[in-house]
Amino acid sequence: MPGDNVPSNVPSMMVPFFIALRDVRLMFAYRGPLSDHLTDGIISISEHTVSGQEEMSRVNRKVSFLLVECFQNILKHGEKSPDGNLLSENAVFSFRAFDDSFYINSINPLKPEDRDRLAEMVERVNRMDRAELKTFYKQQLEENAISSKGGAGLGLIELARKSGQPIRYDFEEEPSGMLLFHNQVYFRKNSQRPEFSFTEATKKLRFELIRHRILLIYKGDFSQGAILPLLDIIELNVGRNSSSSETRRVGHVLIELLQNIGSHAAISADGTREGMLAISREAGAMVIRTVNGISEDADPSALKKRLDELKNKDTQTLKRLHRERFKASLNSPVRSSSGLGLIQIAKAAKGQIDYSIHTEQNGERFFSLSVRV
Amino acid sequence: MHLEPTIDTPEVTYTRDQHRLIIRGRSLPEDAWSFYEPVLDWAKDFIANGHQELTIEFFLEYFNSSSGRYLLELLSTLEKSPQQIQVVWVSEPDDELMVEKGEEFSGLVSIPFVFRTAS
Repeated sequence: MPGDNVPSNVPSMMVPFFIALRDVRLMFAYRGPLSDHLTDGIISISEHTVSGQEEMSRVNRKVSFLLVECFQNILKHGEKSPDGNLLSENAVFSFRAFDDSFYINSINPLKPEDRDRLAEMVERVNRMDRAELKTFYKQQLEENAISSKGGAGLGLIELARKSGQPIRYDFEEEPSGMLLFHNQVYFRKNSQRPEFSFTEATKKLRFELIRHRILLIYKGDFSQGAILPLLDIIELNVGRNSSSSETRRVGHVLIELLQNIGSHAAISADGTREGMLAISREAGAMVIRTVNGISEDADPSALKKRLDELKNKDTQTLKRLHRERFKASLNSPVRSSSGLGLIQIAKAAKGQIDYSIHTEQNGERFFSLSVRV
Repeated sequence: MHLEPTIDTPEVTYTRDQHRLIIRGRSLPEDAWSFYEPVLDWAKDFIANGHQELTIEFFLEYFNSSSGRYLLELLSTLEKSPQQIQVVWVSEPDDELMVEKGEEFSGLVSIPFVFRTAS
């Protein structure tokens, strides 16, 4: 029953967000510092999910190509501040994988005067068939004079050629006068399923990311193959504006949190243990939030007891507790480290670990957790 | 003994002529027991074969709590050895949590620890 939810002070936006993404096998959105280093991590995350999907595995290489192309378009053509840095807090790069389709979305700040030229180029590319696109690509390659930044048109032509679908786009004018270019490239194996309505969804996503100061959000499988690239992305990218000491603390906490979800989350319809992770920067700290389903037969009271035990403990007490349990684990007949990871998280945290166990009307239960590092 | 590093397991190398065991990299395996079982077997053989001395050098970027449990078992096994053993615990200059983890190991076994910062 909803009334069973304990406690209620946890940032609860994660649970409805997670539920709303029920049909999405993989969702990744990024609003943090942008650099080329992000490319490898993005490809690893996508490949891990897509290669495991029977319907989609054949398009794996194309998806990787499109991800790189879309991402680099943001880097190349995004509106820069006077000091040359990309206005990355306004740019959002995201992708979603469903069972039989894959969508890549970008929201990119542009100069208002670029609007007509860009719209005209996308429309022109969308009207062309494969042969025309090929000819046009060669022609543009020779002229190479489409964009003062080099190759804007070429990127769009490549996106249309590789995806085999029209490029979806839209413009959104911010009250500040900034122009946002929404762009969607996709693969669909099953045309019966309605196309994902991108502008509304990505506008809402961007709004939520900004509102909660989220730099990265990931929903999907939490097996080792997915969480290692996430760790790299956070080390090399999200942490770029943080001290290396803070980034390392985040890394230590994430390992325990994500592997815990990978071991204990409810198993989804596709047989994976899935969950969601959001990382934000709030009031001088990085905040890590996670949510995952609780298996029907699992009793979360042991977890609740362990977390409650860590409440209001100072660092020295936590250190002592960890040391005692760590020593005792050697004599435990079960080769496990149960509970030690949580104490380590509490030790690294600035303040409490907040958590909630939420029960939906239909009986589904979700565990969400929030920790400041 | 030599185990090549992987994306989630560390390099483990024993060089007999230098009396040195090096464990270096990331230790994040889901099944830490499978990874550390041969290392623990090696430690028992080391003691049984009566080698003279050993320096264990840890330079770990990250390790998960289940790896921590087996690293403690490794040290706890080796501390029973009559041979002279020491640990060199290396960490990145900005990684105070890794230093803390080393200090905790040091407090739980009777092997002397030397703490170093990677240059």
